[in-house]
Amino acid sequence: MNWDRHMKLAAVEACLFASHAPLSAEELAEATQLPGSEIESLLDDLRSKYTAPHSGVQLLEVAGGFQVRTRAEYAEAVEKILQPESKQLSAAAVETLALIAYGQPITRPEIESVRGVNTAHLLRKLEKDGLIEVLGRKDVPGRPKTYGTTSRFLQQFGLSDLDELPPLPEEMPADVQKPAVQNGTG
Amino acid sequence: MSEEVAEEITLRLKNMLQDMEDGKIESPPDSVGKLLRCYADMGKPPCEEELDVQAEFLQLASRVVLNKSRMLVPRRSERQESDEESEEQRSQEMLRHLVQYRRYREVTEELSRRAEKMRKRHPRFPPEIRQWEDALADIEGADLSDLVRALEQVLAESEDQPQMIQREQITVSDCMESLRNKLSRADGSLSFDDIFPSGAGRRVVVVTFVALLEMIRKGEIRVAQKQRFGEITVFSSADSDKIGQTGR
Repeated sequence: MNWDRHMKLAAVEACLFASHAPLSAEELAEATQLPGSEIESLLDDLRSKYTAPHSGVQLLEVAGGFQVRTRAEYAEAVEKILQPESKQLSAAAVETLALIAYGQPITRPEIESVRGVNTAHLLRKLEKDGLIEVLGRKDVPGRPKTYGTTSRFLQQFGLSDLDELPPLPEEMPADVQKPAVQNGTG
Repeated sequence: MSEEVAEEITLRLKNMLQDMEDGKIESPPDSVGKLLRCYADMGKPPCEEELDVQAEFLQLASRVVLNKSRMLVPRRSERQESDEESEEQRSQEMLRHLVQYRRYREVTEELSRRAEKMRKRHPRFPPEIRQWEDALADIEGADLSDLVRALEQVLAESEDQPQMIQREQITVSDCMESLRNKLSRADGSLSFDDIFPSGAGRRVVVVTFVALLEMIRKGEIRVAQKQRFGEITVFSSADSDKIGQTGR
């Protein structure tokens, strides 16, 4: 396509504006028929454009893609229009998600061994909300289901991928043996 | 019984008992059972004179066996040590879980902060998907509860007809196709009861009902009801001009 730089930038912006889900650089390249390297540079330009203080939106890198979202400073005004359902996660839900995110694939007994409480209901809810998914079954007696986090989890926590999870604090005291839940993003 | 052998066994048991009681033997001797079996194997029933000797032997043997069994049971101090050990193991395990839990608690706080930040940054909302409920708003004079009530009647009737139990292989698209054909043959309108094949089992009724909903959603057909609890009529959308003729 015979586009100048401004038009290419506008095309990428239009795609991001129209999509409700994050778009990867590859998807943007395919949609605009522009080379991947140029997309990266256009995304940088777009990010700079939205960084301007008078911009109401910003470009975020979430769940392996790029997404235009409103700025947190204007949340109150936006929420009067959108009236979103309150989706604030409980502390127990975030705690369970943390265990799954760091320990996946992980079984319910493994989660419960750290949390010390029954998590069956919570796991069902998190699965229903699309934040976790069943990855398979562990090859141990009873073949319990193994869980992992989803792309929606990454979006909800503003993570590009699991490597962006905050590092787990070191184990203390030092004489404590190998943890039941392994670190790693699986 | 060879008296010499019996005396030899008795002597050995006496010595063994003495050593046990003096604490000279620390582990339970394996030879007790062997000696007792030897003594028993020699046996002819004891004569009256020998009863005292036999009784003395039994008393001796039972004391040896009692001592051996005591040696097999862990001593009190050993039991205490074992309890203390498992108590310590439990404490270690609990400590390990607490440490694990604390590590995850810390990242949980960080993740909660991130989630809260993201919650205030709204993405574009997905386009509204037209659901059945929205589509069903087009139903003329009947709502979903009317359709469900009519379905329940058909299901109740389908139960009354005994038939061979067999697995019915039927899909929603099959039923949609069948419904289109029926409507076409019936000049574009049918009563609700007539959309179900006669003598249909529950599975066919349910799948046909789902097909009906799907066709309403797609705008292929419309349904109308003359009056509350009255007959529901299904129309092909192409023949929707007939709806008025039903009196709606």
